Amino acid sequence: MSRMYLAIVNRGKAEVVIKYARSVGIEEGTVLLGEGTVRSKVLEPLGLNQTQKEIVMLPVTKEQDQLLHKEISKKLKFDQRNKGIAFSIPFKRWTKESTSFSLEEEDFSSSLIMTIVEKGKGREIIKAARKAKARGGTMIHGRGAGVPQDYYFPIQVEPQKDTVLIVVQKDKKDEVKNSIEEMINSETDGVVFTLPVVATSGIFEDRIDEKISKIKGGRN
Amino acid sequence: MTLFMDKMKEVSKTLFPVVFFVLLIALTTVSVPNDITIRFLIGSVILLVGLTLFLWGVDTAMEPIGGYMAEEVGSSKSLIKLLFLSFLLGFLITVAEPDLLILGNQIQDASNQSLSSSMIVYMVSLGVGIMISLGVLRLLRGMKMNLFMAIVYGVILVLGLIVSEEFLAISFDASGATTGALTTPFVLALSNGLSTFKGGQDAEENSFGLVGIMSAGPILAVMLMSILSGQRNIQGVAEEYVFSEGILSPILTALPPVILESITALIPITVLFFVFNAIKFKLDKEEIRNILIGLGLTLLGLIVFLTAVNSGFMDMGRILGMEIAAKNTKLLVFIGFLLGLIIVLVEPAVHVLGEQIEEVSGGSIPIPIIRLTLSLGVGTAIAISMLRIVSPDVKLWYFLLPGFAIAVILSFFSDPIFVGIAYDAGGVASGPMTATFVLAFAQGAATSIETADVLVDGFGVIAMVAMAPVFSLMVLGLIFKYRKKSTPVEPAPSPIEEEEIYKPSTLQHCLIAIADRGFGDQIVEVARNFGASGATIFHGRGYFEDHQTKLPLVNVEIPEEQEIIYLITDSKISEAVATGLVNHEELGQKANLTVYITYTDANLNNFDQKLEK
Repeated sequence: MSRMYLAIVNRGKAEVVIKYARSVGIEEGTVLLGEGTVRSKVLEPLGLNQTQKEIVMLPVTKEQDQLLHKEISKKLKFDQRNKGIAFSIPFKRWTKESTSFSLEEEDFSSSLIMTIVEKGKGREIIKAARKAKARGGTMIHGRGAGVPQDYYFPIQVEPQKDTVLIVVQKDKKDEVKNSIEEMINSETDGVVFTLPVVATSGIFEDRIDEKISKIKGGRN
Repeated sequence: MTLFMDKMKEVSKTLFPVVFFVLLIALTTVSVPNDITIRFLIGSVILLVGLTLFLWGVDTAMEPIGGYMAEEVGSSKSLIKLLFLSFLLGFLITVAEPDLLILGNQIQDASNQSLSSSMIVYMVSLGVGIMISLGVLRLLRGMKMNLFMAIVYGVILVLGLIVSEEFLAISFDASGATTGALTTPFVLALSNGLSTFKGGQDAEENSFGLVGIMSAGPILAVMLMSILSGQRNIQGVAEEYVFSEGILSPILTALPPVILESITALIPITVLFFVFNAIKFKLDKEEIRNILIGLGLTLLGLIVFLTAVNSGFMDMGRILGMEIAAKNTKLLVFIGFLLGLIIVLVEPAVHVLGEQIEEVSGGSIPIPIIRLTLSLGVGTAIAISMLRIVSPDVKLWYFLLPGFAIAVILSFFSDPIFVGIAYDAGGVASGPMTATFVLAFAQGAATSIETADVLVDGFGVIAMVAMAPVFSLMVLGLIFKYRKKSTPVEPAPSPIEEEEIYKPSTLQHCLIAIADRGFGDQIVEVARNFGASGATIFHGRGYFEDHQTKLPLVNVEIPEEQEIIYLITDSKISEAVATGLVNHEELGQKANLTVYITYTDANLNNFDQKLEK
């Protein structure tokens, strides 16, 4: 198990991924609920362009990962817009026997930029990323660890956080990241970090398709 | 696909069976005038649009407002402010509820003017205000929901034995009337906001229950009024019902009062929000604009939805009830059951509750199961109501009080999160669809049966619809708990082969820990002891090949609830943190913990300082 396969799919489709993963012998999986955005000239200015997503995380071997990318993309039609994307992050599972951390060297074709900001600011992060020509982002609501507070009832306040996942090609990583950092520094507090991505599906392919259709359109 | 399309799809899935079933009866079993059928069809289409817009608005406006209010209430530094603020919220949203005024007028007529409608409205709102503040207190103090409700229903039971059967029915109907289309989503959001704000291990079960607590307020208020005023019997007869004629004109006549009602209902929440925004929240322009758009959508959706229900569904319900009751009483009970099964799913608040359950449980409680249970509950409730109309020997209290009593007992054995959901479900199921379509169906049936009294038998239908889901969901909670216990423990993961050496190129590592729900804070604590700093925790659901939990009969897999913790650590200490976590005794035994580690380019040098802020 050296990779984490992550698929971001429309609500209700996570089960499809899990079911397929089981059929190829992957024994565990975790699903998170998230929010994606749709590009729309009408809805975007109104802030009404969100769509519900599910994020599937599967710990896999390299071979399983390659199989998943191929089959899930076909099953869920990742080649069409807004159907979903998938990508893999090299990971090492830490067990009691593990002593030192290392990963096999792999070709990091893209990066996952994760931004953690206070609740409500997630959409602005996506906007900032788009300015730098990232395609879009997925938002997950999470929380920080509990902080005891001195109210009438001593409550463990759990600060609510928005986490934004954005996958970009390696060469665009710095540009997008800088744009987000700029936004964070000027308006709010937050943390940005990137994780290496070794394989993707449904992310850059359709851009090639778009280009091809443009060329074709030009010829016609 | 945007949220609008998602919601439209979801609403049409629940609306389609209703339209199909009603048309089937209208075309095969009974004769319905053409204009009513056509109006029903047009009504269905505008209902689809209205409900979609409304749910969209609730998502964009009601939920954030509820969240901000909850934060304001929870962060009170004095008990008085906390109680007063929550009382005010409860009182204001109830006093403006249009359904309550209608009920008040009905009681005023029925009690021969001795109880005035404005007194009823204020008393009930007072009751809701008090119950909401007690409910908030319960949540923050961490008192168990089942115990709290056992006390509340204990009091109701005692009072219920004193008041007359008519007032028993009226008091439960009052509770159905206060949990209207707008109040329920708002209180759900409030409850959810409070529990996320409070956090802790029972955050999940605390997200529900406030609607249930709130709906006890009107019951207590009306019962007390009946006892104190000595009013026992209902007099008078129901007004003659006139079917509206034509297709477009009834829709247009229904519109103005609905607009007025909807605006009145929305005013308190809007005003409260803007007052608090001016003093406390001070949100930026964009957020305010989003909330305003959301409020606009809510209002528009509510108007369109209620217009559709009032003009398209009321007459249809009434005539179906009349015709079927005249034809065959056994068929009436059966059709009542089927109608109840599907109609509850069109209730706006049922959609909102479903979404909240999904959100809170990270998707691990399957919504179709909740819907099925709700359906069975409401179907049975309406079947029993029909039975009561058909045969005068069947009394309301045979079911109502024992039903609640058993539900209260079950709540001590049920899965804790279901206790809150179940009590909420009562208020959620008895929304505008029940108050119009189902009630019209029951009253229509009562006009065709000689032994039935339209007025007396009409009261009590909502009460049954409010009771049955509480009961059925408690049973589901029991099944859930039993199934959860039977889960075998996951065998230890097999050791993984060491991998090739890789030269670290970054300063930080990213650790992902995945564990059972409730251990998130403990994991962060342990990681901190080993030198880690900040962490972000997500809720999710986990699937395991070797121990699947399945619900009996329906064979639906219940995924485990999980927490996913992201930690960014310095590369110098990340191995120590990871080892510390996997070797931790308690976490290793109970939490089903797995830890993954990878590189990250967190080239924010001031990362730690930022977190400490």
